[in-house]
Amino acid sequence: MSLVRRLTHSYFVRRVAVMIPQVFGITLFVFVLLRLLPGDPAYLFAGPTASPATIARIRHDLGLDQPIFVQYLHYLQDLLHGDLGTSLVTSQPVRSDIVDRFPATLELITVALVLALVVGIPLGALGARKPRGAADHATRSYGLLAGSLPDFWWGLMLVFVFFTTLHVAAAPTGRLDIGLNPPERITGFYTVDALVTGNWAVFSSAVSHLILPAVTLAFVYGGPIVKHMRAGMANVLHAPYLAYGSMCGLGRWMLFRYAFRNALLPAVTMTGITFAYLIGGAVLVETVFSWGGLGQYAVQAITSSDYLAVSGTVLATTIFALVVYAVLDLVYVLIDPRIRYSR
Amino acid sequence: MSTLSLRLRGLGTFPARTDRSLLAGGMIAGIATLLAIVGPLIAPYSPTEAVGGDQLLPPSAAHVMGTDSVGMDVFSRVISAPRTDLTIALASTVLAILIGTPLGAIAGYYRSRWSGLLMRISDLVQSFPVFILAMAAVIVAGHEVTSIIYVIALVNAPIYIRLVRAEVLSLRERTYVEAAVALGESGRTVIFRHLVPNAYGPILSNASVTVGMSMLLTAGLSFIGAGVRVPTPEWGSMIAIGAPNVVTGQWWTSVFPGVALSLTVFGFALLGDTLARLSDPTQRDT
Repeated sequence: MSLVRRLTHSYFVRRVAVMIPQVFGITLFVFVLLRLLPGDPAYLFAGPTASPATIARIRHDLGLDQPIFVQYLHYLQDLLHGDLGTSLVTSQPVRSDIVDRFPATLELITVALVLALVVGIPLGALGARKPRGAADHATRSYGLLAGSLPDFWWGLMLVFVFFTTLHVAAAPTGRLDIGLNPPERITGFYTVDALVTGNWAVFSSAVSHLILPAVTLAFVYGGPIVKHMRAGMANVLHAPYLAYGSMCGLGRWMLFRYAFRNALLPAVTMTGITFAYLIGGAVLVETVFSWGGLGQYAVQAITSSDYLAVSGTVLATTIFALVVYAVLDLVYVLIDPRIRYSR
Repeated sequence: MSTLSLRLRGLGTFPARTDRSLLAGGMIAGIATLLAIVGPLIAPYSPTEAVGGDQLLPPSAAHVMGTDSVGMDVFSRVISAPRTDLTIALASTVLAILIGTPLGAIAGYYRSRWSGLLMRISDLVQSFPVFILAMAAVIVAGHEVTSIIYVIALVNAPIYIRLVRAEVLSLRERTYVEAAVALGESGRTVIFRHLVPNAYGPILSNASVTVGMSMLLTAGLSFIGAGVRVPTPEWGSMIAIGAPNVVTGQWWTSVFPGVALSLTVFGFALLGDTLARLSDPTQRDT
């Protein structure tokens, strides 16, 4: 009851309200970016053989001959109707292109971050147990090392070792073995959909294709999670309330639980930030593994001046990031009851 | 405190008894800088010339790191690449600091509506997907080295706005600032004569990290073809042209540039981490 009240009481509303000007800012930014991209869109639509009259007509049809602020209003109007325009490359509505590819990226980064959390949280907690001990040194070095690796190169190295040399991993050719059809679309996550429909061949293929890219991302982006868990735990272990608890005779497990929950906040923050970052930041790893997600769509759109696809992707990833940040702020309240945002 | 102590303004005093990680980080950064200057001069082969018939030779005495798919010597290219990668990284970091420091200091010193707006704008820039934003911006600005520098600087500037603002917010309450204000010094003098020089410890240690991150961003952009173009020696594009070969077993084309890149970024990160640790009295060794 108190939790529900805390969440709904003003802060939730205010936190969501903050997103409205942010989203407007983003649309304005993306619109400007769109107008700056090289290549006259009318010319691109018309094709190389069109006469000047045709191009002028298309320019008029697209509204490109109107004042820039009128164009922006039209752009906003289309956005409110969920219309992101049509991709020049795929000839599909950009919205459906994004909806098609979004689950691929989301599945990859979700699995990667779950991996990073499952390994990183205990590792970080372990590192904090004895400052300057072996575990502390190892986690500290890992944090620095992982952050220094170019993710695309690390993915390539894993492919070389586990696919080319040892023949234990799947080929870096996308989300499924060539020749297999994707499972019936329910969530868009191949593993989940295959499991729900009981399609074991597709499930095992999807899992085997997920392993290498997910491990790549988990290894490279798990560094900050470990680092913050270690720092959080190290801070908490010196807290007077733990000394007090220990003097009162609380068991080690109990003390660990108290410390753990208080130390979790920085690591959770880092995970959320990484999650938001990776939606647009897994581009390079997606390219290495031909993943066919949002990142690869962006690369393709940018290199072929597909300006509506570019703006649509930037818009989608940024709004997703904002939503993740908002959710993160709300999760804090769940983890740490001392945090109250209401005045 | 021994007499042998090194005093760095803003970093506090720390023992000159060299810290091992400081030494390692400094050495890596130093070697990379040295190679940026002399790399192409000491390369055994031309770093941009493809030799027909010498494609995909494995490492040997003649070609220490082998040759790539068009017959360029990998070793010569690996040691010539810092001139591109490090120049872009250093220049964009300096530019990001030059943009971020005054803006952050002003936003921290004058707590007005405008500084609030500035912070919201920098939040906005930070919430964009960095990589996609950088990619799109490079395409808009062109594949020139200078435009890559501008783009990376723009992406990194908010970090310094935030960092300097946080420092200034705490420094502005100090008595020496109060004294300066009481003496009738203008806001500009207070900010640039008193606040900024005292805020540069964290800037310096963070700059080292930013140099590494900028190098990763440069290499990433080149990897997908939105950065430096072949045949200019650059680690990211070398990894990219070697990628198909790695999958079929000719590992040397991508392994060596990747190791060089990771090691250099690691060196700068280590340097920054150590400087930050030494400048923070709560973390310094006793």
